[in-house]
Amino acid sequence: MSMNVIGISAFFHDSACCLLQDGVIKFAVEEERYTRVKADASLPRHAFQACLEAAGLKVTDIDCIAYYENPRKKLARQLWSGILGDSPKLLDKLDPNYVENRIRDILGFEGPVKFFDHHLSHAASSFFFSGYESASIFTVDGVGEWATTTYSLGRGKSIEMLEEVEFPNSLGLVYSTITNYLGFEVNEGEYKVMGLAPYGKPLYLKQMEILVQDTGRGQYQLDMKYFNFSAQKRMYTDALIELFGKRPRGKDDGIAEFHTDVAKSLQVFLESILVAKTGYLFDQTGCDSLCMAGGVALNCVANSAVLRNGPFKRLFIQPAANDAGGAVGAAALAHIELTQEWPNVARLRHAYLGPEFAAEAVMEVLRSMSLRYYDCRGDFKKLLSMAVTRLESGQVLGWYQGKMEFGPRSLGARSILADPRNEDMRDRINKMVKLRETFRPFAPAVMAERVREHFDIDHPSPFMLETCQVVSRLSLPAITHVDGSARVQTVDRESNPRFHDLLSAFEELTGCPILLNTSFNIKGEPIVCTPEDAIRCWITTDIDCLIIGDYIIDRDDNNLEILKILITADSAMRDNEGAIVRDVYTFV
Amino acid sequence: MTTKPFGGSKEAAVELANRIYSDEFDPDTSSALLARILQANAEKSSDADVVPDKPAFSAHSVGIWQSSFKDGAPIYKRNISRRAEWAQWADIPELKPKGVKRRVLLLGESVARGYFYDPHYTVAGELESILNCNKKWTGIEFEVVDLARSNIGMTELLEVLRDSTALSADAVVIFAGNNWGVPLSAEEIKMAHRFFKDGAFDGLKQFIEDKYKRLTAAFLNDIRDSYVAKGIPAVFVIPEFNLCDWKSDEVEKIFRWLPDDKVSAWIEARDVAYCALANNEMELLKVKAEAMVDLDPSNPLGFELLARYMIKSGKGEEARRCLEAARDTSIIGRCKSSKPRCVKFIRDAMLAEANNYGVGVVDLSAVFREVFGDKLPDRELFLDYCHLTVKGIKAAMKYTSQRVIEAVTGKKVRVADIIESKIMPDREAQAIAHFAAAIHNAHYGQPKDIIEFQCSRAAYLSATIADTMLQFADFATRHTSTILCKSFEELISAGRMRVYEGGFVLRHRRNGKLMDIPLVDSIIKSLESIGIRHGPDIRRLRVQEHGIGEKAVNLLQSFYAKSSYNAFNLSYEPNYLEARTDKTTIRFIAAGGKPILIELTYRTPNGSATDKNVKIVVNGQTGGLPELKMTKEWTTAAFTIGRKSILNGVNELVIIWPYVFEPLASLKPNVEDSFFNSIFPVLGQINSLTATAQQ
Repeated sequence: MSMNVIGISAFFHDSACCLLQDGVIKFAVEEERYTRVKADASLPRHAFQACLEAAGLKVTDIDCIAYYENPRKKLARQLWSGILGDSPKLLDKLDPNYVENRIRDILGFEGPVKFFDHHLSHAASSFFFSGYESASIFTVDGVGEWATTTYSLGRGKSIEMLEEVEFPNSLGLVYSTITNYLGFEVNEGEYKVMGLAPYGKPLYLKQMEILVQDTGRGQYQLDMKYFNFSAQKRMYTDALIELFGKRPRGKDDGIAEFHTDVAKSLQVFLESILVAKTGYLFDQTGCDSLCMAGGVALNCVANSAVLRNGPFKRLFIQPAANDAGGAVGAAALAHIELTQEWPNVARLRHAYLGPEFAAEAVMEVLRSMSLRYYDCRGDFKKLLSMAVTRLESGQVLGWYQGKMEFGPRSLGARSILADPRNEDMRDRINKMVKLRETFRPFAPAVMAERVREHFDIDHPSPFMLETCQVVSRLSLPAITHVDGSARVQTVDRESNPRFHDLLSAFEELTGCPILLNTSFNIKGEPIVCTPEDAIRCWITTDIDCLIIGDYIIDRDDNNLEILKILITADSAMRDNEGAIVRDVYTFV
Repeated sequence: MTTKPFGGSKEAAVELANRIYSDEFDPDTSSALLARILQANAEKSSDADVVPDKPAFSAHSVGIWQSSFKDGAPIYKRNISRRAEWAQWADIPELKPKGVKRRVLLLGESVARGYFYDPHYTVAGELESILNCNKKWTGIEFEVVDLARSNIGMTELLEVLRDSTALSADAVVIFAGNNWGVPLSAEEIKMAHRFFKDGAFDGLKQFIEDKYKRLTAAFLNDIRDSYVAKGIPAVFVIPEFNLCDWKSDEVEKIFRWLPDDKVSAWIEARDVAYCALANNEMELLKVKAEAMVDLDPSNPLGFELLARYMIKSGKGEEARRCLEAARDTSIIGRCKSSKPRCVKFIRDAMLAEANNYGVGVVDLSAVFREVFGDKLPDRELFLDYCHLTVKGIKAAMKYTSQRVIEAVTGKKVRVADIIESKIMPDREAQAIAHFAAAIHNAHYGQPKDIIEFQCSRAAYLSATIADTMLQFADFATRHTSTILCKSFEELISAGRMRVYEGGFVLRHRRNGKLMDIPLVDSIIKSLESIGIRHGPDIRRLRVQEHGIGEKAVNLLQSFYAKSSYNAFNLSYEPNYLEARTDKTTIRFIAAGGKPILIELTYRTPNGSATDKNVKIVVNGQTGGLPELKMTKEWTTAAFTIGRKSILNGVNELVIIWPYVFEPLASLKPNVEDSFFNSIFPVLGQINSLTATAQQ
């Protein structure tokens, strides 16, 4: 009988659920994909159900639920920071068993529930799936319980925590604060700041050093006169505005040179402190394999700087390095606690851990709709040929195949694809499809065996979590950032045969083994999950063609006006009904 | 460097958290620690929350209409940023400046929109038409500005009331009171829990009544301040309820915790009452229904059964009182969406107080009695619980116009002298209204006879309704979300479904689609009555989409486990099905005469008595089916339904849960959920339920 452990992250942001069967991740998915609420923080009840269904299990087959945080420690920090309010009746309202009660009440789980520290869960999520026998582990995010940055050594089935930095000193919160100051949404706009940085000059490094002081060893300290982490609308004080000398950017304002310079300064500062602190970690462990996790580890530019400029020879970051991944780490820790063993789990090679939908499910939707489509069942070559012809002619494709990715990146299962050689493509997708800021770059997906011919990287990058310089003989304007870099994804045939075959077919037709690959969603919505989500998203954007399973649907063959109106109105009404109002930041 | 903006209370916070999580929680020490933390936090610097670039000017709005200027005159245009709400308001792009006509504003809820007829025919249109039919003798031409909105609550209605003073009205009519439910506060919930524990339902009722009296008085005060005090007359129309034909749904009838195992007595009385009703033993029905009311006056079923007796016995007034009492049990809040209704104490408060605030009143209950005699309000006047038929609207607006004319002219007017309007929705619009009403009745758990009545009425009024009905039957039967279905696209494109918020009410929650079996069957039947035969096609589609095959079908999906949109009143949704009554009904579709394997993972958290079992009934038969033991832990049982017990098409699997008395659970920190969970006990839970066809 297998050991089935469910891992859960919830009640902050990016809630997720995974199933670990005998130490192997069988299934993992974020709750937002089902509820369609971006970064949904609710208990991942749909994701939990999906875990059971995917593995054919009942709730009674689950040996343990592992939760990615320690509620007691978190409560202490919340009390201290005042985020729970100032009512003297607070004690009446606090439910010390809130998390466990919710798990029991909502999921109906009767077995043991284990709790693990937030950063330990992060550390475990990376180390135990890295394939390394031992590794230095560095975690960094906004905040967990108290810790915001941790230094550990992983060996076999154990993780030894060496040092931690405590709240409110937090590099993640600094990044979010500047994101907020630059007029972007916290927990959402950090990628934008990273994308904006190459356009600027690091003119505000001094200010950054005033905000954050390196206090030696693994520590650093924030000057809290510039920050306000308990306010609802903004994370900074007037002092920070004075420090930078300009008013904060409003969310609808244009981007000025000042904003790009601040973004660049922040990024350069972050890279330098991460290089310094991971260097410190290496000094403590002497172990030249590095595992990273936490929201800041999604900063692929900084990750590459750590590897390039630091002492480490190898780096592993799992695809859901943010809080969603904490579910996986907690599950691994519970498995070890229950069995006293950790199986020789190979390095996690792909992120295709989410739900997939049978061909009949796609057919069921298509036969109910008015869409005209090509049926390529049993003729995958035909599908590939039609797909690459469209790409080569400048069309943008929605590509929906197989199991969904776990983590915030689309990696060829729920992707929007286009020809990277096309100069107009970036603007076109930014404006017409993604409805997002024009400065943001798109990433390339490349056949793994061809990567060195086109990118300055000497190892696989399957999760799009590193950047490198573009060195291709081809002109690739759509995926090359202003500084000549790209956030590359390498695709090997074993992990994703369909996507690899598509890249291969595109190379055969054009000589280019690379495609522009961006997430299949529109601004403000989670990545599509079900066939219906994909079709809805495709209809409301200007994506030329949708390839969903074995079916090809061309925009030119269909009159989508009525459907577009219906879906747009439906989405607006859902927003209205759901009334999800997000404040800038909360610790709850 | 500043390093301690959070005060110096970290050790206290850690200690307090540890104490809260320990078994030896000491309230005094913990309170002292909390006080220390709060004091330290209060001393920290607090930056005011500042939103950058806050707009300096905010335009004035009345509902969805925002002010602007045209040729120097103020006009109100629909605000595009509130596009998603437009369908809930009148379909008017612009509120024009007041002209020479006397202006009457109509505010209110969906009943004031003329829901189901709007936009073909509206309450505002009817009122304006009557007012102007009487121009010959009043000498006044009126315009009625339609500011009613579907699904508007008391707070939002007050906003519209205050904002509408900018529209230079000569009179204002407010037709509301159905949507005035206000959730209880945490303190009130604690008090309600005590009332229930002590069996003091009357005390709780009195408390709620007093609260609503205060709310009603406050509302009247706002009308006075906004209008009456400025010399602008105001008329309040008190809605009536479809007492005869609107029944409580399954969620509204769930069991309430009662002391001393009175629930068992209530169940026994209910079962005998149902038998008595079926056997026409009316005196026995009376005795048992009265017993049910005595045992649990918060459950509408006792009153409804007693009303059946009263009606049968020709006791109209008693029946009315019973049905009003049944209607008013919704104040207990068993479900998330008890349909809108104006309860007796709001009506009474309005009748008692309105005059003191200078507000005129039209009481529809009295109006309908005056016009239609003592007959109980039913489908002749109502399309559902509170939305009126054309006949109902005309009667209501005739009396309203009388009050408006009196108020504006200052003359006494007899209703008999009011000339009625001639406007009517055409037959096609009426047909659509009745069909939309059938859908609404079906989606909120009404019996098949009223659904069939509305469908038949629609088919009788206009044969052109057939396409719309068939389109509905098609998309309702499919798995795919309604919004994506070709038949829904066609329905919207055809433009016939302009009512019912443009057809958008037919949307459903993600994974919350109903199969609408009684409704689709009613559609088939009513169309057959006018010679249109599509039953076989729809039934084939049903089997294609939902038929049990060799792959297990999850019967907990909404298609099979839900028959209405109503749900129990919890802030969260569990991953399993919960029964708070003794029967859970699941519908599944079978074809091909194969036996079906059922796998059920269940538990009975309310008890584990060894002498009671969970019973399984399929299509009314128990033969060959197991009885399952009560268990507080999830237990999986598998059994096969033989091919002889399976019907081709729709089958009904009923799980009958035993009731076992347990003491009332005390409240937990999350008072709302724990209140409802303790007051309305769970008899059974199903974590997994699948069906697979066997060879």
